Amino acid sequence: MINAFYTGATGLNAFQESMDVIGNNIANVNTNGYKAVGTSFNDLLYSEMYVNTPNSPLIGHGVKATTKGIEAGQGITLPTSGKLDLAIAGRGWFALEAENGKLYTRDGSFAISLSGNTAYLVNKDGNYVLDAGGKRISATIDQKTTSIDTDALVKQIGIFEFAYPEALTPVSSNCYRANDFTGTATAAAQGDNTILVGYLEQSGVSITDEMANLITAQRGYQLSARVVQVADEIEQTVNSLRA
Amino acid sequence: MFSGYYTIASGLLANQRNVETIGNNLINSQTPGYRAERIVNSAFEQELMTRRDSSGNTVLGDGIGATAVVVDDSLTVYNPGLIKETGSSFDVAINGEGFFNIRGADGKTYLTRSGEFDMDREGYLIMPGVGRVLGKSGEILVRTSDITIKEDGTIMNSAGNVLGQLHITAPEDYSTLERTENGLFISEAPLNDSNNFQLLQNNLELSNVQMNTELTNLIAAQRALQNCASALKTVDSLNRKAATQIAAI
Repeated sequence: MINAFYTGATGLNAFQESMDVIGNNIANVNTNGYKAVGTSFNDLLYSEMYVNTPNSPLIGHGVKATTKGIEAGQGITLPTSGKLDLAIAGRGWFALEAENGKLYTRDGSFAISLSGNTAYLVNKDGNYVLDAGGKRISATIDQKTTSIDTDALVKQIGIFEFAYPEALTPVSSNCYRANDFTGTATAAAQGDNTILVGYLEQSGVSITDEMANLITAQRGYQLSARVVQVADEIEQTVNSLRA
Repeated sequence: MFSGYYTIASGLLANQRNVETIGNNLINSQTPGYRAERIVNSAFEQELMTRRDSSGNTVLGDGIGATAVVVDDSLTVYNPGLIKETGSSFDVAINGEGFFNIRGADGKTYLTRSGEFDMDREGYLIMPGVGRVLGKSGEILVRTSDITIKEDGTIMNSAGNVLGQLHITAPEDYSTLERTENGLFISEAPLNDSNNFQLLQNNLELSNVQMNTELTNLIAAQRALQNCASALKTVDSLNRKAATQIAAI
């Protein structure tokens, strides 16, 4: 069989995967704190056209889609009226205590969780927001007025930074997990980040960029399909040699 | 007698290889730094016409040699590709002449135009799957993605400390470059520092594959293959005539 079949198929797969990622980015255009995921392409193995021949020309075997990680930069912040809607201006991340380890997020739509006389700051999935020392943030409820000092809660929030935040692993609910490549989360130095109260960070997806990428991926897909088609027509020609 | 068969079969094979190469170009039309490949065919009429005489010398035959076409070589097109903004701080495009230098796992220095870099666990700037990127004074330890790369290749962190300078080299003669895998090249001849370039951070140079050219070449190669196929049928019908009709007399 001719290689161009399989070369074409790798192209179809790679551009399909790229479209999946772009589609997910577009679907999350209104998700607070979402970071767009980038894709790129790499060419695959090359083999020698003739065996046992010195300086034989090389023939390529297609393409694969690769991830470029997340675009971890600052997103646009939008004012809301919530006292516990927080956005970070800077490179930092909020830390959350989840059931299986720490999570990091830039989605600061937090809430209060009451436990007896103590109010804990949690995110909307009920994971505890952590302070710079990695402890839960809490405040005691005033018995007379039954009010909670939210400003005091916000002041305690810890902000963490990574050497390489683009490598964070996305998990569900706008959260990310650290790994070997991101480096360990370190509490950000004073003044590097500011917490904006009454603001939420919008999705980092740029719809124009994503649409342009979608069109490119679609054209790439069409070209790959054309290669498969030509390979098929060649096989037909060969098969009809002895008509 | 049957030489026509093999001549045409060699044509079929060469055109098929051409289709495969063009197909690979088309599929890599979005691969950063990819350089289009062209097939060069050559005839080797000469070789098959030679024969050995009684004293062992090679002489030109007096009959009609069986001509054949083979894929002789592949050429790489070194035209620059389009530069696209990506917004990723590890993406660098070369506007002008030259290549990035990468030290591969086998210790060799590879050249590439793909500036899609990353950071490894130890914090060095790498080209994923190939090796560490070489600066003017060796490997570059960046430790963070919060870096600035100036037009001359100087890499600085957010505190303004210089971490290294990307080494951009260019060959005197592009034909000395040898194509290897993953958009990488090896140079046997010594390389010079390139002076005629400008580096653009947050940008990537895309593939230099031109879809119109490649699609036209693809159709041309496909038709040439079909021509060979119908020529093969003609030779076949001639032979059939010889075998059936002449023998029938």
